[in-house]
Parts: sequence; structure tokens; C-alpha cells
Amino acid sequence: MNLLVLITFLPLVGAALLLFAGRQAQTARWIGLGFSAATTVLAFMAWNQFAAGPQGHGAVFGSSPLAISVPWIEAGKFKVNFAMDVDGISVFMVLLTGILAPIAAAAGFGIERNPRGFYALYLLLLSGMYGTFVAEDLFLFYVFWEVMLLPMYFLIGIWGGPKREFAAIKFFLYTLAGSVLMLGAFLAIYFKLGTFDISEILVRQADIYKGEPATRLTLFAALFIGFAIKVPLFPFHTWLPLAHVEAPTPISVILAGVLLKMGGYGLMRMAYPWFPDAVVTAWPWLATLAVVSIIYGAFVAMAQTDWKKLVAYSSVSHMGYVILGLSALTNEGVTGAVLQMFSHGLLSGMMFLLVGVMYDQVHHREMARFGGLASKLPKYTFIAMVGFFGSLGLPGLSGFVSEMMVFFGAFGSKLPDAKLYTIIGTIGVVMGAVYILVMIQKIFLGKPKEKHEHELHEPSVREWLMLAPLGVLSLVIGVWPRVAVDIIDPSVRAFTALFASHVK
Amino acid sequence: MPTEALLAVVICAMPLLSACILAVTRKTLLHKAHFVGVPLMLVSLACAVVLALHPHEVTKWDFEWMNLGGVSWRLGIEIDGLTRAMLIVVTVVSTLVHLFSSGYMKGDDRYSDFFRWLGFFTFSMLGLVVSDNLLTLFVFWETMGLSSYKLIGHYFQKESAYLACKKAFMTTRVGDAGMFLALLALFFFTGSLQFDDVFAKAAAGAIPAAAILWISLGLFMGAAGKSAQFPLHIWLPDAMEGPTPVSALIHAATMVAAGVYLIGRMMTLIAMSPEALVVISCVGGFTAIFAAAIAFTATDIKKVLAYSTISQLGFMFTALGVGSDIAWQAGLFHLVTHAFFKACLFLGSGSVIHACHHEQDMTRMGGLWKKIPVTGATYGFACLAIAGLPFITSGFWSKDQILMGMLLGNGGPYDGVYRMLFYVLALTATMTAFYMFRSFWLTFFTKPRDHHVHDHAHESPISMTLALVVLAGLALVDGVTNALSDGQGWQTAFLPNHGDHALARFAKTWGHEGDQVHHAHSTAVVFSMIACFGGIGLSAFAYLTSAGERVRKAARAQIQPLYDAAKRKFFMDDIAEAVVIQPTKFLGELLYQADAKGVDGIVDGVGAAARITGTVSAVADDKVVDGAVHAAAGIPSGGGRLFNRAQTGRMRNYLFGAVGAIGLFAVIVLYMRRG
Repeated sequence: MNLLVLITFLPLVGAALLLFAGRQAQTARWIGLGFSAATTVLAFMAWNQFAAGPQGHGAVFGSSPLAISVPWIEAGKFKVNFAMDVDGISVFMVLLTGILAPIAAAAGFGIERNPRGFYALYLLLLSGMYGTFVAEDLFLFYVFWEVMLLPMYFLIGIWGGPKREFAAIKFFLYTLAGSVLMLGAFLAIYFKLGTFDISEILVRQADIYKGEPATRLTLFAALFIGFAIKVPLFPFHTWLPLAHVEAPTPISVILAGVLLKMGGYGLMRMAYPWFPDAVVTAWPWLATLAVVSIIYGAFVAMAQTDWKKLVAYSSVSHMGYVILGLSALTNEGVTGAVLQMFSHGLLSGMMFLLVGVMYDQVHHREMARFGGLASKLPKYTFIAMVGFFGSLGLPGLSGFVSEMMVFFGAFGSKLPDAKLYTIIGTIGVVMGAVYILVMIQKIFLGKPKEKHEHELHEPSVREWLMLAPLGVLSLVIGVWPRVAVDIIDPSVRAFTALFASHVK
Repeated sequence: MPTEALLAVVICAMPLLSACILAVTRKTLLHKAHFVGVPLMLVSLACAVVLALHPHEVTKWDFEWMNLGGVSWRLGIEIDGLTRAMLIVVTVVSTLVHLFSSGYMKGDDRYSDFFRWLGFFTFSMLGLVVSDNLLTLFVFWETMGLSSYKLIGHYFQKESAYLACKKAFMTTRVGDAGMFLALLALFFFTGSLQFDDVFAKAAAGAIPAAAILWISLGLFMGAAGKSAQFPLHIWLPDAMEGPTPVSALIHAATMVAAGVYLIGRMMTLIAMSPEALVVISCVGGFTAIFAAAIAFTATDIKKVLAYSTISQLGFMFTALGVGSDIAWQAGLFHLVTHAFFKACLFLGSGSVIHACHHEQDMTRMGGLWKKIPVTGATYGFACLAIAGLPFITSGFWSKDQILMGMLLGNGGPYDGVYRMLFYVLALTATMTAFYMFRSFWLTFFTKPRDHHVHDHAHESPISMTLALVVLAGLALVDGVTNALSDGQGWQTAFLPNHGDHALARFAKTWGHEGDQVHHAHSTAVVFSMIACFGGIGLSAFAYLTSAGERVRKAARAQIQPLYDAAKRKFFMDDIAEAVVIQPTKFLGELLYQADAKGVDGIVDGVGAAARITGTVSAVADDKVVDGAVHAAAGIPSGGGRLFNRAQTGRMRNYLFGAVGAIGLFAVIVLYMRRG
């Protein structure tokens, strides 16, 4: 059976199984974890199969040996294929999802309220995420995109914090607004080209409203905003802090780790390559939004008093790098953007876990009430330092390599004022150190500020198994980025080649 | 891989291994951590000595780290004279600091953690000096920053310590941003970050002149952060919060020298821009005299040494900024000599502090010479070295060469500036001799001012005094070898490997005595002797005689405002607070408020409108649709109602619906595929 189909629908089988399983919490948890872990294995297999292919194969979406395409819906002229494939970029995102899936599932073991429902929705969400990354047909893509949305809504709305309902609705509406813009653009493209096939649209992109640059720019803007909401890029980011703070830990991990990447992925897969001319026209806007996100996110993160909110705002800053690198349209920049998505997935996932581990013990997240954890919990502090310094961009960990590549790419871009944007962007590097260090000081250094009911304890074995792999992977990418770069490079080159004639 | 490169790898790997072992065995080896650290450092040191035996050979080795869009990123090792010298400096000082710490840190709760970070720091510094490219150099530069952060914050429960480590990291990070931009620009123009490539392409004219200026200044910004040059020096005095051996290793001898090393290493490029050179010199010269002035007023023995370090680093930058081969060699030579005698001074101060039961205030010391003679003698000799006692101390030779280099200039348009800086440095050298001996007199001579401190003082254990003796001995040996070879000591081994265009352009080549060189040499010697004896003599008069004390007090009354300003570090911390820190905090707060009320307010407004529409549609839906669709469509109608429903079984309906629908897709697909 096709690996991509399997990885997409296996979690669904798990969800179905859960509905018929008994009410025991433990059963639900292990089914949830088991199916998530199974997709991890499949994700690594997919990665491996993709990597094992001949040099440069699968550079372009729709050409890898993993591809599958069968006619699905046919109604007169309306034809939809059930088509799935990966290229170097999406296989990387599948891998990221596969890595985070069991970790988030394990993070949900502490949830007491209706674990069966939780894991059923979680597995459904997982299906949606895999499907989104591998869909080669726009219709299919949209279905999966929406499939993700609903379970997320419930997962935040039912299992979240005190303001969960408001957060869930806000998340839902915001994302829905993005989906509508996206759908509009998809339909416009469909009516012009008569196809939903993503790779075919890419080949024929010049024919979409040929000779009408303004219309093309509008379509690009619709797609861009639709995806930018997911990223989230300033000023479309305000759903994120709320959703993050209210979401339970495993959902924060998935939200930051995978869902935000959908935005970047969508831009890479659709918005940018379909409208290369519009990208170049819009470059000053794109770069401005990216740089503003980087700096603004960092400044706002600095002003936070809630630990989780700080981590949430750091995502705004870090995802800004993705847009900067991507918009630079250079090999270094785009590679950096992909790596940054992956790295941010690992590190922000790790940071949310770290916050969650502590929250489970003290039941608050007020940074002012912490202090001195380093002397009480040296092991926890150690792993926390890996996560937070990784996020700060410490060399040796993945965040440095990806941010570095983004900056190299942006500086070397031929687009106007690229150097200026890059130079302003480095403020984010300094500010990143500021908010992380201030946070570390408040939480870990100094003396403990208040007595806790129970003695604090080091992470449990389960928590170590969640945290350690993320740290190790971040280290691997940070030291030897080749493992990733060799796979994504052909696809990145194919991507940047699309813009060669537009960038002067 | 050539043997020499392999040796370099071993040198770097040993301290890393020590750090890893200690990380794993935190509890089991807690108070025996030095049994791991010291022997491994000795292996490193031995390898470094072997490497140093062939100072004139250049070994290179590299590998492809990444291939990106057809551009190969190569990283590797390059070992030349400068690297060899740095390897010796770092391994020697680090080994001795390891040894010293086994006495000084005895009984510390986090003894093992301390040695772990010491090892990691040493690894980073060694990695930095063997790098053949700016990328790994930058990587180690940053990991060194992390080690420094950890070690300054060793006593992280103390407020002053955790504020100091944060300040150090943030301040250097500002400099690093500039350095990073320089790296971006170098890669942009030359397509490489390897020194050889960069220099070759720069010589071929690949980088426009204006860009060279900015790149050089960017690099210098990084160097100024790491090496504590004005105005980024503010972190270093605070960094004295770290345990004293850390101050010796990191904040005096090695890490702070990394900036000097960077500028020295990149000199081939920087020398192409006379403007960049003169900026470096001026900043260095200003820092030298500025920090020396503050050192006059410090009463904490470690603070005196901290400001003296900033000042001495200023000397090095002033020299490097000349860009001639003599001055280049002199600046780096001073880096090496300074590393030994400053490590000796710092460890000596540690020994004093240890002896006085963690008293650091010199106003409460005095008369310790008899109590702790070994510490006193080594500290005194190191003071002579930093003051530049002629002929037998290393400091004399390096300072003398710096002064000579300043006088000679580089034949470019800014020779007048360099000549002016010569006088600044000569004056600073006098001040150096004065304030260093001030600390010596106050600590070891003069009447004991606190009998409790004095009575309980005791000499340190052998592990500590041995380190002091070796370091003082190195300053002596260095001085004597130079005396025997008329200033042509081993440091000349730096030069031949750097026989490249830019430096050759400014060559004044030392040793081929032109009249000019000869004349400059004589002048420099005279000035350095006056500085040394003048400074020492004045301070002896001022602090050891009663007449001197009267003069001193009268003089101080004359310049009271200046004295107070120096005492308050010329308000640099206040300025940083007012100009940088407060505005940054304010901006963060402002943006957050704007975010919550402004940006999000708009969204919530839209949301409210949507909710109204949603309610209307939900009412309609209720009557039309049922089951799964119902639940989904009800969402915009507001949470509470929906979740009540969810708990009464609606959610299960939805789940069944959703799972069923997607399952159906799958079945259809599979069916079609078979067909």
C-alpha cells in the first residue's frame, strides 16, 4: 500500500478504534500513543525511501516514486484526483509531524477529562496534518486543511484553560477567514485552468490571468493572507497567543510545531510558485511584514509576564524569519526558511513541553512567582537550557543554522533593499537573547520565591522521553545540517529557479 | 587528515571530553571533578607543545560541511604560527586554572558543574583558534559566550551574579550582531568564509573599498563586545561576580583576547581600509586611558584587575589598528604576554581572597606580605611585568614594541593620529604602573587595616601557589628570552605565515634596522622606562610614605569631581540604563499594549460582527440540519451552548460523522485504485 496514503489514514483508523474502545482512560492513551508512534515509523520510512532515490529525484512536486494519483470525483468537467506526493520540502514536514506526533500524544497522558474523546480528535487532527502535507490535488488539500481545523477547535475548546471557549472560537474564525480567502483563490485558479492538480498548475501558472498583473497580485494577496494567518505573520497573529495559552500542552506543541508550518508550507507550495511575478512586486511588503514580525514578536515577548505567552510570542518572531528567508528567493534563504520551520517545530515544541512540565507541578505560569529552579531541579534546568538557548539561536543547535541561512540568503538577495531589511532584521537576534535571558533569570536563577505545596520533582521518565529526542534532533541539525539539506536542496533549487526570470 | 590537524583535534577534544564526562557523572564525581579535568588538560597541553615545535609550518585541512544550491560550505582547521601561540596560551592558562580551582573551589556545592563549564569553555576557545573560517570561529565565539554566562553565574542564587551573567551575554550579543553582519557581507562578496578565500578575493578586488570599511567595523564591533572595548566594556567589571579562577581564565587571559585574535586574524582584510584601522586604534586608545582612570578609584582588588584588563586590551587594539607588521606583531605579542601575567595577577588576587576568607576590599587588607609570601612575591612580579620592568619581564618587550609601532605608524594618511596615540599609551602605561602598584602596596604592605582579616590570613595550598609560580615564571622566561635575542623572541614566528599583500604594504619590517625603525625603537624604550619607573615610584611615594599620603589627599581634593566620576565608572552604566535598557523595556510594554488593545481589538471587533451573523445562522441551522453538520455549523454561535451540547453526546455524533466521512473517502479511493 502506498506509504503516503497509509500515513494519512492510519491515525483515522486509530480514531475509529477509539470510538469503539471501552471507557478506560489508559486504553485510550495507549491507542493514541500507539497510532501516533506508528505514523512516526512511517514518516521515517517515507523519508528514507525519498532519500534513497537517485540524485535530484522528486525535486519537483509530483515526480517522486512515492506518488499516487487515482481519479476520485468526476462530474462532467469537474474532475478531482486523489493525488498525493512529496518533494524534498514536504517530506521534511511529514517527518517533523511524525516526530512530534508521539511526543504530543505522550504529553497528553496527564489529561483526565475524557481521554477517549481527546485522543480520537487528536488522531483525526493528525490525519488532517499528514494529508495537508502530502496532498497533490487542491481539492484534497482543502479537505485536509479543513479537517485539521475542527478537531483543533474542539481540542482547545474542551480541554483548554479558563478562557478556552473564547480562544477556540477566535482561532476558528480567524482560520476560517483565511480558508475563505484561500478557497476563493483556488476557485479562481480552477476556473481559469480547469485543473486542481498542484503540479499541473505550477507548470501552467503563467496562464493564470495572463497579462493581468493586478489580478494576479490580488490572487497572490488572497493566498498570502490566507496562509499568513496560519504562520502567523504580523498583523494576523493575534489568535496565536490566546490559543496557545489556553490550549493544553500537547495541543500547544502541535499548534506551534506543525500547524504553524502549514502556513509556511502553503506559501512555498502554492502562493509563491504560482505567482512569481507578484512575489517580486510584493517583495517590499513581504520583507517589511517579515522584519516587523521578527522584531515586534521579540519586543512583545519581552513584555510578557506569563511564561507560556512569552513562548507563544517568540513564535511570531521566529516564523518571521521563515517569511524573510522565503521571500528572499535565494537558495540559502529558502533552505533557511525550511530549516527554520523544522527547527522551530522542534524547539518551540520543546519549550511548550517545558512550560507544561512545570505547570503540571505548580499550576501557574506567572514568571514572577518562579525563581531558583536551577538549584532545585538541575536536570530539568539542563534540558530547559537546551531548548531555550536553542531558541535563542545558540550555535550547535538547529536554530542557529536556520536563522543563519535565512540571513545569508536575505543579504545575498538581488531584490531591492534586501540588505537593509536584513540589517534591520538582526535586531531580532539581539532581542531574542534579551527575552530568553530575562525569562531564564526569572524562572531559573536567583532564590525560590515561594514555597510549593509539594516538593518539586525532576521530569519523569515519560517527560524525558518527550524532551530528550527534541533536544538531540536539534543538536543533530545544528551540527550536521547535511542530513536535511541534502534532501531539500534539489527542491529548493527547483523553487528558486522559478523566480530566476523575475528577479533582476 | 594530516597529523598536525589530528593533533589539533585532540587538543580541542580533551576539554570537551572532560565536560561530557563531568556532565554524566555529576553526582558520583562531585568533589573529585579535578581528577577528570586536570589530566585531560595536561594531554591537551602536551599536544599543544608538540604542535608548537614547528612554528613556521602552515597546516590546513578542511571538509565539505554542506552543499547548498551548488555552493560548497567548507569548514576546517588551519594551524599557523599565531594559532600555535594561542593554543599554548590557552592550554597553559587553562591547565593552571584547572589546577588552581581544585584548591580554590574546594567544598563548593557545584564543584563538578564548575569544572564542566571550565572544560566546555576551553574547548570553545581552542576550537576558535584552530578554525580556518569565520563560521566556526563565530560558532565557538558564541559557545564561549555561553560558557562565560554559565561561569559568571556560578553563584546564580546571588542577585549580583545573575544580573552580571545576563548583562555579559546581552552586551556581547550586541557586538555579535555587528560581527554577524560582517560575515554576511563577506560571504556576499566572496562566496566563502574561509580566511584564505576571503583574503585572496579581497586582494583581487572582489570587495568594494566602502564595503571593506563597513565589514571591518562590523568585525570590530564583535571584537569590542568580546574584548570589552568602549562602550561595550560595561559587562566586564560586573563579570567579576564569577569565581576568581574564571576571571583569570575567561575575563583576563583568554576569552577577552578572542576579539583581539579576531582582529589580528582578519588584519589582511582590515588593513585594506586605513579608515577602519584608525577607528580601531582610536577606540582602543581611548579605552586604554579611560579604563585606567577608573582603575585608580577601584577599591575591590578584582575590579582593579578588571579595569586594568580593559585597559590592556585597549593597548592591543591600538597597536593592531596601525596595520603595520611591527605593530601587528606587537599587539598579538602583548596578547600572549598579558595572558600570562594577568592570569597570574588574577589567580594571585584569588589567593589573597582565599587567604582573607572572601574579603575582596583592599581597604580592609594591608600587611599581608609576611602572611602569604608566595602569593605576594608572584603578585609583585606580575605587577612588575604589567608595569613593564625593563629587560627581564615580558610586559616590557611587548609594550615597548607597541609603542614603537605607534611611533612608526603605517605611512598612511593617519600617522599623526598614531603619533598622538603614542603619547596616550605612554601616559596610560605610567598610570598602569601606578595603579597596579597601588593595589600591591595596599594589599601586601601598608599597615593592616582590619585585624580580623589580617590575623586569620593563611597561605594557599600548593595546588594554588604552584599555578602562581609557573605563571610568574613564564613572564620572566618570556622577558629573558627576549632580552637575549634583543626583542626578537619566539613571537617573530607569527610573521612569516602572514606574508601577504596588505601587511606587506605597510611593512616596516623589524630587524632590518632602518634609521627610522632604530630611532623609534630608542624613543619607545625611553618612554616605557620612564612610564614604568615613574609610575612605580610615584605610587610608592603616595602609598608608602606619610608625605606622599598628604600629597595624595591634597591632589585628590583638587580633582574631586573627576575622581567621583571615575568612581562611578564615568556613568556608563547609568547611560546604558537610560539610553538603551529603559527605552527597550518601554517599547516592549508599549507594543504589547498596542498588540492587545489595537491589533487584537480590530480582530475582536470583526469577531463580534461574525458572532452576530453566526447566531442568526445557528438559529436557522437548528431547524434545518441535524447530526454532525449541526455541531459544526453551530460553532459561530458562541461556545457555551455548543460545549454543553458536546457533553451531552453531540460531540460523539460529530466525531462519528467526521471519521465516517473521511473513512468513506479512503474506501472509495482504495476501491477505485483496484478498479
